[in-house]
Amino acid sequence: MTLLSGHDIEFSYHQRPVLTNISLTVPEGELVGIVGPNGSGKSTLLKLLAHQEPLRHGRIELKQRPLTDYGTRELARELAFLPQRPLIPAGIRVEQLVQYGRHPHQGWLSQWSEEDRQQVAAACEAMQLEDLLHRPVADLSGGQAQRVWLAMILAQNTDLVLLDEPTSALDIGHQTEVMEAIHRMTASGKTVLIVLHDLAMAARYCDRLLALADGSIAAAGPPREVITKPLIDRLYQTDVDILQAPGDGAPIIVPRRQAFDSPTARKS
Amino acid sequence: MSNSAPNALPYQGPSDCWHLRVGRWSVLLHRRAWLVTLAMTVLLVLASLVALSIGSAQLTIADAWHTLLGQGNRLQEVMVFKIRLPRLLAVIVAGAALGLSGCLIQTLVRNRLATPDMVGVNEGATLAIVLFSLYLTAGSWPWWASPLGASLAVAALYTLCRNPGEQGYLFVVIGIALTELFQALGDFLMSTQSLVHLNSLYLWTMGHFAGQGYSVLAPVALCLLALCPLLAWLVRPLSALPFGTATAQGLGVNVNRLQLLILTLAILVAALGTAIGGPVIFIAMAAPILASKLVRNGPVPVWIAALAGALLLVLSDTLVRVLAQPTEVPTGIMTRFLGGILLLFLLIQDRRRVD
Repeated sequence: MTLLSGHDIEFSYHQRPVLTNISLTVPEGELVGIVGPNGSGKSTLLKLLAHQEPLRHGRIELKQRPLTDYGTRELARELAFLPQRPLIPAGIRVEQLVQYGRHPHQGWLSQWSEEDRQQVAAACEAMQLEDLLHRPVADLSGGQAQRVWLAMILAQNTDLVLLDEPTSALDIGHQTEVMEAIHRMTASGKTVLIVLHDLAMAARYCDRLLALADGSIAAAGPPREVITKPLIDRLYQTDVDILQAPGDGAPIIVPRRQAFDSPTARKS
Repeated sequence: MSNSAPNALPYQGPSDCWHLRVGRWSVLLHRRAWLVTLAMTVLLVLASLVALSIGSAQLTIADAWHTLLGQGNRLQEVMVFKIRLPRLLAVIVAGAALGLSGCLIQTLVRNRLATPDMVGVNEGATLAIVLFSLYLTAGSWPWWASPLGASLAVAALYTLCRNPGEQGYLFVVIGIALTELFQALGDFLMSTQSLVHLNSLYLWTMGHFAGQGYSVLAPVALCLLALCPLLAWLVRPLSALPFGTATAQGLGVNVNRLQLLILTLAILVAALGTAIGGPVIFIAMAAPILASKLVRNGPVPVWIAALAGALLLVLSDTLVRVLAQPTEVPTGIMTRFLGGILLLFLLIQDRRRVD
C-alpha cells in the first residue's frame, strides 16, 4: 500500500527552478533512499515531503490525504523529520532529548503518560542507549549522537520517518552503526525515506532508490536497477566501474582515474 | 561514563522531574528549576527587606518586617509605605519584566546578546515616551506610549531581518544600529528643550526609580499580569525552539506562529518594564543567563529569569542608594556599569571557545 505519494511537484527558489515534474510513491514498510549529486534537489524534495517548506505546485498525499490538510501537531504524529544538522540545546542529556519525541503527543495538562514512558523506553532500547541515558548529548561521538536523534524520532511513534543525510560527516564505522539502526526501524514496520550521499550505503540498505538529477527523477526502482554504469556516469559526470559485493551482490561503485584507462598507461 | 550504572536499569521516566498526576491530568515539574525558583524567591524577599530598611533614616530589618505587617509607628509607616515600598515594587516589576523579555528574545534568536536593550526595543519605547511627554501629553506620564514605540522599533528590525531564528547575528547587529539611532533621536529631542523642563525626563532616560508612586506602576503591573496566562501557555512549545526551526517544526510546533507570538509578547513586556523606570540596561541580558546557568538543562526558564531580573535590579538599586547617599543617582548608571563588565566577560568567554 502507498503511504506517501507526490504528483507533479515543482519548486523554485528565487525564480530558479530546483525541482520540476516530480512524481513518486513510497510503499508502506520500505526503506527508500533519495540519491543524486550535490545540488540535485534531494534535501529540498525531502523538506517538501515533510511539509517543512510550503508546496506551491503539485500535490503530496500522506495516507491518501493532502499534506496541507494536516495541522502541524497532527502531522508530527504521522510523520517524523530529522534535519541534516539539528541543533543540540545547551546542556541537554540523552534522556531529555529522546523525551522531546513525545512532544506532539503531549499537552499542557497531559505532560507525561504511561504511553510516553513505554515509547521512550522502547526507543532507547532499539537504539541501544541504555548506558548513555544520563550523558550530555554534546559529549557523545557522532554515531552515538545520531542514534540519540533517531531514538527521538522513534519515540515520536510515527508511521513515516524522513531523514536528511543522517550519515554525513561520519566515518565508515559510525555510518554502519547508524544505517543498522535505521534498518531496525524499517524492520519494526516503519516506512523510512532517507536522503543519502553515499551510493554504496544506499545500495546496501535501501529497498528502493530514487535518483535525482537536476531537479527531476532520473531513475527509480530497486538499487540493482538504478545503479547502472550509464546512469551513474550521467548523474555524476564521471566514469565508474560497478562491481558486485560478495555475499549480497549489492552494487559497488568505484570511480576510474581518468588518466589511467589502460593498465599500461601507468608505466609511461 | 561515571553516570552509567554497570547494569543500566530500563528507562523509568524523566529522572530530573517530579511527576504530578491528578486523574487524567499529569504535569512534570523540573526538580532543579523548582528548587531554584524557591531559593530565588527567598533571596528576593530578603533583598527586599534590606532595601526597605536602608535609607536616609535607617530601620532594622525586623522594623521593616513589622511595619509591613502593620505594626510600625507612624513615622515608619510613612517611610515604608509612602516612600520606599513604591520604589521597591517599581524596581521589582521593572526588573522582572526586563528579565522575562530578555529570556524570550534570547531563546527566539538563539543568541545571548539578543535582548530588548541591545536590539532597540527599549530605546524605541524610550523614544516614544520622550516624544509624547515633550510634545503631546505635557504633564502626565505617557507610559502607554511605550509599547507603541517598541512595536515600531521591532517592525523596523523585522523588516531588515526577516528570519531571527536563523540569522541571530544579523538580528543583533541591526538591533544595535537601531538602538544608536533611536537614542540619538531621543537625545536630539531633549536637547531642543530648556533644561528646567528636562530634569526628571533626562534622569528617567538613564533608568531612574526615585520618587516612584503607584500611578504608573499599578496599570503596568496589571497589564503584565494579564499577559502571564499567554506566556504560561507558550513555555512548552518555546522549549522546543533551541533545537532549531526545522526540528521544532518536525516536533509539531508551529514555529512561525510561535515566533510571532513570542516576539509580540517580549516587546510588550519589555516596553511595559521600560515605562516604569526608563531603559535600564543589563538586567535583560544578565537575568536569563543567570537563570539558565542555574537551571542547566530544564525547560526554558522564563519565570526564573523574571525572578532573577527582579533580584538583580533590587540589588543594583539598593547599591546605588547606599553608595550615592545623600544624593540620588539613576539606577541605570549602576546597571550599565555592571552590564559592561558582564558583556566583556561574555565576549572573552566566547572568544576562548572559538580559540
